[in-house]
Amino acid sequence: MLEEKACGSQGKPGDAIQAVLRLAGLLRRGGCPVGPSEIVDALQALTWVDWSRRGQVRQALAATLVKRAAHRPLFEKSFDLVFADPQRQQKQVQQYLARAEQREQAHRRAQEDLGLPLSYEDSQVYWRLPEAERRRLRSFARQSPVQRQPGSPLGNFLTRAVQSRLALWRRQLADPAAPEELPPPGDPLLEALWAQLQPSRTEPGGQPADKAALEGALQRDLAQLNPEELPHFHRLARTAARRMATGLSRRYRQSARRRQALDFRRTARASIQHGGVMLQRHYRSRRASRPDLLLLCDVSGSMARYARFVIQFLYGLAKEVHGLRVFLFAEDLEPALAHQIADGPLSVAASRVMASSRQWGEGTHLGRALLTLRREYPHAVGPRTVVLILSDGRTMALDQAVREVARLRRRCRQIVWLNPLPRQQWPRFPAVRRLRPWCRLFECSTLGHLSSLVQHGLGRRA
Amino acid sequence: MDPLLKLEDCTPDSLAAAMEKAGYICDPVAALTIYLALRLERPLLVEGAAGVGKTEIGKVLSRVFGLELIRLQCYEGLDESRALYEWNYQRQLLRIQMEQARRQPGSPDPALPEEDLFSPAYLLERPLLRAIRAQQRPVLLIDEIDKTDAEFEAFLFELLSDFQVSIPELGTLRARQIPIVVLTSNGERELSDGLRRRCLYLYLDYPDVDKERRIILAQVPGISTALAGQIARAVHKIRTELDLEKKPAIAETLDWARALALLCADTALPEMNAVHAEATLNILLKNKADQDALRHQLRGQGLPEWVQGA
Repeated sequence: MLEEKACGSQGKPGDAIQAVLRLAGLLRRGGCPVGPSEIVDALQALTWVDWSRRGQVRQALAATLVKRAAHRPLFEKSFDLVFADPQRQQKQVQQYLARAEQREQAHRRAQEDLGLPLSYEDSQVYWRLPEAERRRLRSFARQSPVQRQPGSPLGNFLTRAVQSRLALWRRQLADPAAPEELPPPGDPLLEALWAQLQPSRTEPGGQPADKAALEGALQRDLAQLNPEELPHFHRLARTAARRMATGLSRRYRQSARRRQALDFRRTARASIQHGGVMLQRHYRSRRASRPDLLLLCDVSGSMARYARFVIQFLYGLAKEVHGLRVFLFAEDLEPALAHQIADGPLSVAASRVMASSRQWGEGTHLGRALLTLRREYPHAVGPRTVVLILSDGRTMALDQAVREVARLRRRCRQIVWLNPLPRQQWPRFPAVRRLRPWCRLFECSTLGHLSSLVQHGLGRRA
Repeated sequence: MDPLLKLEDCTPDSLAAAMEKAGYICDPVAALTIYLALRLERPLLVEGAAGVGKTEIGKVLSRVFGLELIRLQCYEGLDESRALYEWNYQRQLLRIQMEQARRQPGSPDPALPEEDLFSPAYLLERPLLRAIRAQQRPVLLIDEIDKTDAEFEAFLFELLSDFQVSIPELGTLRARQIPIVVLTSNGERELSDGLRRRCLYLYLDYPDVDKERRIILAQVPGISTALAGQIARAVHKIRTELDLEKKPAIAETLDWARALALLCADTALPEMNAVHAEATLNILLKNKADQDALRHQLRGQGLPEWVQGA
């Protein structure tokens, strides 16, 4: 139901515009795209609603500014902050400015301590270090003040060394609750409201809370999906599976529905019955081929984080693709029966897959797994086979893995590697660099990735 | 078709009332969003799970305002020749043939002007063009937009933002009357930001118990209030507490309600009984795994008792 109480604080038109702009600002920062045309729509919509009914104002702004259901919780929180009591907002601004001043001072003191220029983020990490580590950094950075002039080789080296050390600590202290870099000065009320919105992004336990509200389910790591987002995931997995199962062929077929190209031969033949007049046109379109799909699923310890995603993907694919061959691998390779995986509800399938495999949680030896595939299941791979590898690529004996992947590539149509590790982390893993020439590599750690894979990546021939 | 409401007299409350009169139970949030889409003359994008009443919004709006409903059902591979227009190629050929037969060899008659062949008389209007050229404001329902390709979605941008279409041979055609546009999607594919930006947005969720009870009472004549309430509670519990592959849609609830009303009338029972519920489960749950999941949850007790135990 719509709330009936008045939307009090913004009485004058100028106030309303300011409030809508602030709301749009908060939504943008939270990851919800709001463009100028949407702001214009929102302001126009406000002229058609009753300002004395807060629920109407809320829904008018929601309908015009928020175009995805996943962003609605972010909108609700932002709306409540923006359309709050002005006195409370004033207090929030004062608190925010006091906090900003404290942070600024801490930043200045960190720079003075080390005698080096630091980013806000680095200075915050600096103050969260253990005292002994801070002392060590200080003594290291304060060596020979003459030699560490800015621009001198030693000065540059020192700065980089301190920055690297702080970057290392930042990773080690990886705590989502850590304060973020000080935002640039702007509208103090907007900054204060954003600071209010920030704490709800994380819970004390370090697990992102309500992140769907802030970034949308599409940007969520697949390992952190909520149960209510699962149907969307299943739909995407199903579509992905269908696209993979019906890759386009180079051959054409007759088509009445999809008109990709004129079928001149049939058009000319049909014209005979009309005395050579091409009265009826015939079309053809690319024929969908059904490649054999082979899924190699990494279930090693490093993939444990993504176990839920692995099982859901496996389940979705097995349900959609008839004749799918599935192998689980870690230290070695073992077959799994796709029809058994897809039988019954997901929870049953999950426990069945976990119970039947000896590979769960072992180390990864991709080379050995592919060797087993080649020796013991030689007929599993043929020229029409699309091999789908779901793995983070952290493997032992990389040389052997590269050799085996190269051999596998020669025998199959293509290898698609879905990697749940974020793309930024790929350079850290030599396996990604060395296996890449043989595979089509896709990042696959969020629903958004899976969605864009379905839209743009899969189904095309390598 | 007599309108239940005039567009110029429309308010959120009167719109909700008129939609209810037309058989669509509409909550205030949905009514306000539809009202704003009408006032701002913006397309309305309705998202939600299958069977929550998205398509029905377009149909009901046409009934409420007494306007023609033009429906474009989307599917993969839909192109502009099916959605917008196509030249009547056969008619053009016949005209050429007739012209050739009429003209004598060596006749001084001027040749057939090309623009004659590419005039509106040779244009086959498809739903989008029909909506643009309609004399009276129509309701254009673009159903399941997520089933089309991304290219077709981009093609719609011009229509949805400026209510005009470009036909190379004729130029740009502007809408005579800005149509009421309703787009529906159940999220098979992520729609582009461009499309979303051009629309007002409404997300429809499964109805709550009270709304579903009102829908049943409005759509199933002769059903008792007690039975409608029981059915609404049962469906709500099934949707929320079971891990189903396909949650029952409103249409399935209504079918189930009709079946149970019929059985109750035959046996002169005012309320649902376990035997009837068990025998008609396949109307509600269209999947064996889902039916098994419910039976497993019931653990031998009857469905009415299980619902009562909430």
